[in-house]
Amino acid sequence: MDALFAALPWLTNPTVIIRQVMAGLANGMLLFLVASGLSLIFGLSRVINFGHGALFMIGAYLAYSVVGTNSPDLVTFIAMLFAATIGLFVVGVAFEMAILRRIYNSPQAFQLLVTFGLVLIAGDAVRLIWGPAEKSIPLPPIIDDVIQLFGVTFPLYRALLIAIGAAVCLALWWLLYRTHWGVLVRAATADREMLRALGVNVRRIYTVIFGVGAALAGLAGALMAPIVSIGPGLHADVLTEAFVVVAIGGLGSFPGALVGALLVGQANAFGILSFPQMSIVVPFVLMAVVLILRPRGLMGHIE
Amino acid sequence: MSDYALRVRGLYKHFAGVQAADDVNLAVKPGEFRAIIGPNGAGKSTLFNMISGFLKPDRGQVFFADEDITGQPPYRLFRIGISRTFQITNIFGDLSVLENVQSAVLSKNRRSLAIFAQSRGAYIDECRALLHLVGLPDLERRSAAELSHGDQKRLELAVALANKPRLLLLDEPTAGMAPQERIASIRLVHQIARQLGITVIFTEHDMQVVFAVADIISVLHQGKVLVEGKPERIRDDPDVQKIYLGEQGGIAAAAARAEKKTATVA
Amino acid sequence: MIRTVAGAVLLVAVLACAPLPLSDFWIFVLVQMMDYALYAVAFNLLLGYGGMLAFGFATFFGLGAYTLGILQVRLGFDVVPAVLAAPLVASLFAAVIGYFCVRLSGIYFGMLTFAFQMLAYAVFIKSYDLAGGDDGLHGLVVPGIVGTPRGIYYVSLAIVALCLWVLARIGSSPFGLALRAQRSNVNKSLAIGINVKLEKWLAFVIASFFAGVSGALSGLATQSVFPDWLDWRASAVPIVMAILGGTQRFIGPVIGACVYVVLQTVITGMTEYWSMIMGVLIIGIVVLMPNGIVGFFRLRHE
Repeated sequence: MDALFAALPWLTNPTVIIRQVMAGLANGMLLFLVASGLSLIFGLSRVINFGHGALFMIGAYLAYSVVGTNSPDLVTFIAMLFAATIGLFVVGVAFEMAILRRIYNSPQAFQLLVTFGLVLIAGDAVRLIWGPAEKSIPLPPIIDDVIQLFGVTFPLYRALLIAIGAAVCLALWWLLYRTHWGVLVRAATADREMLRALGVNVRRIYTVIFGVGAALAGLAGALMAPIVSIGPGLHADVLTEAFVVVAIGGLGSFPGALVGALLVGQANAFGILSFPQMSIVVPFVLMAVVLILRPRGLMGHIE
Repeated sequence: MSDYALRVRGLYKHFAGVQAADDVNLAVKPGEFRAIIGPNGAGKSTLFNMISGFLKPDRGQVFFADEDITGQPPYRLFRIGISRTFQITNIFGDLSVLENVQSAVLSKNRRSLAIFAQSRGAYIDECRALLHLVGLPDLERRSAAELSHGDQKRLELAVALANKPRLLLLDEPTAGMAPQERIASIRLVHQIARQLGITVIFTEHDMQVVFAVADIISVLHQGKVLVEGKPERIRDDPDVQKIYLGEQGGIAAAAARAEKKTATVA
Repeated sequence: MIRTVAGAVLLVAVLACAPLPLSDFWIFVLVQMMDYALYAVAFNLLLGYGGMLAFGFATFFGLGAYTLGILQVRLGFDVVPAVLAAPLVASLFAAVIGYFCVRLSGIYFGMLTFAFQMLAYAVFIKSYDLAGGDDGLHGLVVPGIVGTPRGIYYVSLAIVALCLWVLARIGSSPFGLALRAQRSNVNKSLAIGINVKLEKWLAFVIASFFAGVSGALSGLATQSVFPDWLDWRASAVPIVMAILGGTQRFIGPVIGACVYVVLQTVITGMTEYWSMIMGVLIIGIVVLMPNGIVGFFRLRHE
């Protein structure tokens, strides 16, 4: 027991634990925003959108475009969030209509390559438009503060991230489980042929869901913009993390995306504390273990 | 030499609220041509899948000659001489006709993991003999997917015979065929089976087909073997008529039987 | 059949003479074509023959390269045992993870291979002492005449030709037929006595072995090993090459690899935004030429 406490000294320090749990929650909420989109898109179209990280990245760059390097006021910041969300919705819809919908019935390798094409294009496009140098944007001064939560000092912005993430989660839940449209989406996820036979315009549902997924990724990107370094390689790490979350939670499962995101968020937070050198390996080991024991993920459906 | 080619003892299988197999017992003699009939949902496919290793029974045993084969995977059963065909024609659509048969013959000879030999002319005589036996001599190079439905069924039979089986399980062997083709098709199977001494168990919906070739018929109903016997006995069995024709139909059939009796007497 | 053998011999003869008039740069391009041809054909054993789409196939290319690099640069091995060890390590890793991967099919198989690639990448990128971390490994120099561009060319030609010949034989072997059978119809394969899991596992190990060879050869050619080679994005490359050339003929991925390398070389020379051009091309090809280049021309002929 003593050896354990020696190896992981934070186990005896409640302040550190609380702070890490909250940091993990903030991280988890952002992961949820990205992963839920990825999962929803898969659930409906059976396509794994490898370009999802690119959508996140575009959101971050859009944030930079709106806010710039000068310290923004709160209104500008919120406007920026809306701009990124709506902007990425448009981008997502455009991509789905122009390219993705042509390959829904193609072999999986083709689908993979098409979303991969998005990765390649986006990676260079942001370099072309914004230049290769890394960017950062500051927080509005009013948010750039700390608060006291559960007896622990914590950055206000991260607390806000948790709140926003939770709000979006609730909104999505309401959309999927309490609206007629949401019923259609969930039904289409389970059996799209039947829905088509019932005369439902499934094509439009696909387009909208892709747009929503993109918008979520864009929002996440915009939210992350002030606390991360924005560069052309941003999309790669994000996709990796999102993939881990949906693999663990279960492809196509909305609750799975939440559970997976929260789990990975905590694993990241405590992983950094426990194994600072190899902390990035922790989520992958977790994913590999889950996929081996339960290939469809913790809450995924059997195909 | 065992008394029975296949014996099924007390087989049970439960699926989501349905008892698909409810104490099924079967005993098939070597060389027999056994038909298993029954209305939809009677449990014929389930029984077949359990005998051929595609499904594990909840309870009970399956014996092939004296060997307990309960729950063994299909690929092992192929090796000991059990072959099965499927209701929906099951062939290798991406392979040529010859390759379809070759893959089975190679598998029988335990060559499926041979990475340095070449498959091109492997066991060509044996393959050609099989194709000839089922009546497909000149279609070797054709892609299997291009064959007509009837030819695909023949190919499926050729592949099923590749392991020189002692037991052949045919799941709806004439399904999808035009009525004229069906009797001819099952007669071909019957002839081959007699020639090679193969025990055959087949499921069927078409009664003409069944009565044309079956030695013994087993009637399945709601997961149980309702009655078993020679074709004439089954044809006149009132319980069988009831399950096929419903209550009213059963009454009508009984009336028809009674009429036939009085007519004969008179 | 004889036409194929004659064609192959002719090709090798032409390739043997090719370096004479060429500059080092173009010799290097040819070497990359050969390495990638092997890589693509190995990948296609899984995809075209076995129906298995591995999202994380670059793992084995990368492991082969890293084994060579670590043995040579960090542990001072001679080049020959290092090159021999590379595919062995790659296929050993494949043998272990393959046990778990082949129980799955379709997208879950792909995902698990992808997962293991990300794991491998994370481990290597963090191991600075052993694997050079972010920088990778450099200085994989082969001493003597073999280490010159021409020398590397001929060594690669010999090794790739041999490996492709072996892979061709494997493809047309009873194993290859069983593999194609299970791709066509899994249940039927089981019914005719094929142990599908074992076939898939063996294909996985064989494919990874040759991917490891191509990775090692690439390390020799560039005298370096880059962590990018293990990045998840690298796994798109074999998929692109196989699809480009067509997965249903043995020669397809070879053509795909050559086209890919030429495209990459030419476009990289034209603009620094070659990724974007590549992305557009890939999307264009997928949408316009679904049967790959080989298939596209075959259809034209019919």
